Amino acid sequence: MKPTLSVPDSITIHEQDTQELIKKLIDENLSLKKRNQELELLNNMAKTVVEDLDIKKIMQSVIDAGTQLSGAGTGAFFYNTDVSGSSYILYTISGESIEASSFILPDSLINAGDKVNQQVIRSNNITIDEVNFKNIKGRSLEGIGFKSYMVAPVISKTGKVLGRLFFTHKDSGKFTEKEEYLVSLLSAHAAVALEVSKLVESKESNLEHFRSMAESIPQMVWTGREDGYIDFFNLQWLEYTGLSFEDLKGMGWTKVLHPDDIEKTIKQWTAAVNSGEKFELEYRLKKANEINYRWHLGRALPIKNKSGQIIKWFGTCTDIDDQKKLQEKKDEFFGIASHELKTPITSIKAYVQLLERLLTDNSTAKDYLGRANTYIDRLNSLIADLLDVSKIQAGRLPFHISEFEFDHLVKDAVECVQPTLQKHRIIIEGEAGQIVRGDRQRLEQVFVNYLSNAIKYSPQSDKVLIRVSKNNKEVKVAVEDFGIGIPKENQEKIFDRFYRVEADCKKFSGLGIGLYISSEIVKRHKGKTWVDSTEGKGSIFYFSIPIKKDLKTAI
Amino acid sequence: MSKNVMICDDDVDILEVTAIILQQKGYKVSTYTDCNDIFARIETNKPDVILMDLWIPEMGGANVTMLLKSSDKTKEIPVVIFSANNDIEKVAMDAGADGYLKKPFDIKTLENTIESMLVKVSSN
Repeated sequence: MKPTLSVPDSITIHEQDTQELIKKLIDENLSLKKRNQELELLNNMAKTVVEDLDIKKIMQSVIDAGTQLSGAGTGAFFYNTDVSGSSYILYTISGESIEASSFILPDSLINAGDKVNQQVIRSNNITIDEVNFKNIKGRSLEGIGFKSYMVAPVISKTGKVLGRLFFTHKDSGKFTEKEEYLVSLLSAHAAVALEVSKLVESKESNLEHFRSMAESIPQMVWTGREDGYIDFFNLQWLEYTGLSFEDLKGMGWTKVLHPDDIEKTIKQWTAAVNSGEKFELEYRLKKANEINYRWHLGRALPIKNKSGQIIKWFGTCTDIDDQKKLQEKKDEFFGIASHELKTPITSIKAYVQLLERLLTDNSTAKDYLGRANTYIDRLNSLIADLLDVSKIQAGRLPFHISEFEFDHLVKDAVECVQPTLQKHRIIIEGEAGQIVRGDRQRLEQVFVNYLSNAIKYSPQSDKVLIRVSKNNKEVKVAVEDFGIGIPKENQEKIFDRFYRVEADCKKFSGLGIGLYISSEIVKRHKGKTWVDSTEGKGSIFYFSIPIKKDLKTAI
Repeated sequence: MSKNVMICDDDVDILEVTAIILQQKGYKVSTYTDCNDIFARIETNKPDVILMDLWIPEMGGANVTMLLKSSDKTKEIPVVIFSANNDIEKVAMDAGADGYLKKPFDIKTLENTIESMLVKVSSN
């Protein structure tokens, strides 16, 4: 059988098709290659944007990519340096070199309204569009040698024009919708890059600002991460301890703590980190090349972000060694002074009582001696109060905690005060029926203070009421008198140290520290003190002590 | 037979007036301004109760009390800590003393405290 002729025919046809196909393929391959190149350019640019934080470098790569992608002869970036958007400076330039001074944004663009401002402006032949594209020197851009022209705004997330990408070509018809699209993609990248680097820059300058501040103050300064890891110590820290940052970082700083302070300091720091509450503690730190430790006041505050999360701890250590030693001396002095004052009082009191015994009942002399004895007691309690105030200020009023029946305390306090009274009767109403935990002697002191105030400021009255009550949280005491009362404006200050209601100062003696001591004692029991008073009618002084859950009611 | 009270206090005025009060009550009183040789003194003149100032030279009343309480010869003698110190109750307890008396004192309280110590000893 003869071979068919249709085969070569069809081959011819196929050859034609194939050639066209190949041409088409080559074309497509070329445009694919071009696309790939474009993509690669975009990618490279995006990489620079992400990896680099130098604005100049980023914008250069944006402009380089833009110039290549759009086929522009020259590309440039104008940075908006002014909020009003009317001041642009040439920042980076790419492509054919052009005299920089002639490379200026046209007035029409700068002064155009928002609508024009936020769009890509494109002209394929500026000789036609001359009105819109004049430069500020009055020369047309064509005069400089441009025909194609394209300006794309770089707009921030908040809609602010950060700058403009500028592309030109000497030939007309260079920029089409495709170039416009590519450039608008670029400008979006550029906007992100600019904003990120600005943010980083401001953060870095903040950090630098903080560091230079930290180095310039005499205090020892440190910062910690949110997990409590210490990540910065200023120079003063390193100098004082004679150690390096590597030695101290993390929890390394604990090795300069006095052995007796390590446990409580770590415990308190951990608690602060866990709770997010501020840290404050006094501890001793070892000085470089010395065997002695110096007392420091350590403080740290958490720095939180807008959503309230801790992002950093900011801490300081202040050398309080000298104050601490002075404080100790002052305490010692007060201790000795009060002891020395009490010694003669002890003898006087004993002799007065011996004298009293020698006299027959109902004699005037015996009455006088009885009064003298009362004043001796007052003098003694004033000395004790002064000692207490000095100890409260130093934060070392000693407490001896025990568990006791609250009603017994009330009874004891009344029994202590009642015998010294001339006409007042103390009446107890209600009972707590509760065991409480606290310093019995100190709480009795609060009672005695409330009662003596009630009596002192109610000279016309003859009774004082004590009301005792309790709920499931606390025991509450009210001491009510029917005396002169306290003006409203003075009621808040009444528990302050050395505060005395001025109008009464001349009529009533006292140092103005009794209620201060009472409120401090109650505070240490985690309780509250307050007052309710009407001028001319009387006052009710309250205090409450929380009940610990594990304690039973009294039997 | 009258009971023996030993008073140790570095302040002579307090020693004197305290002695007067207790003597009027019928006690035999011996007074000392320090605690040196206290064991020897106890040996020659054994007290039925000791009133001990906290700030006594050289070693302080609390330490002396601890020493007395750690010796078989003296541990039965009641010791009352005598001081103007606010924390006297705790200090007395920690030292192992039998009681305390705060300065300044009511003479009735002094008499009662000494008496209660002696009652305690005789009931033992």
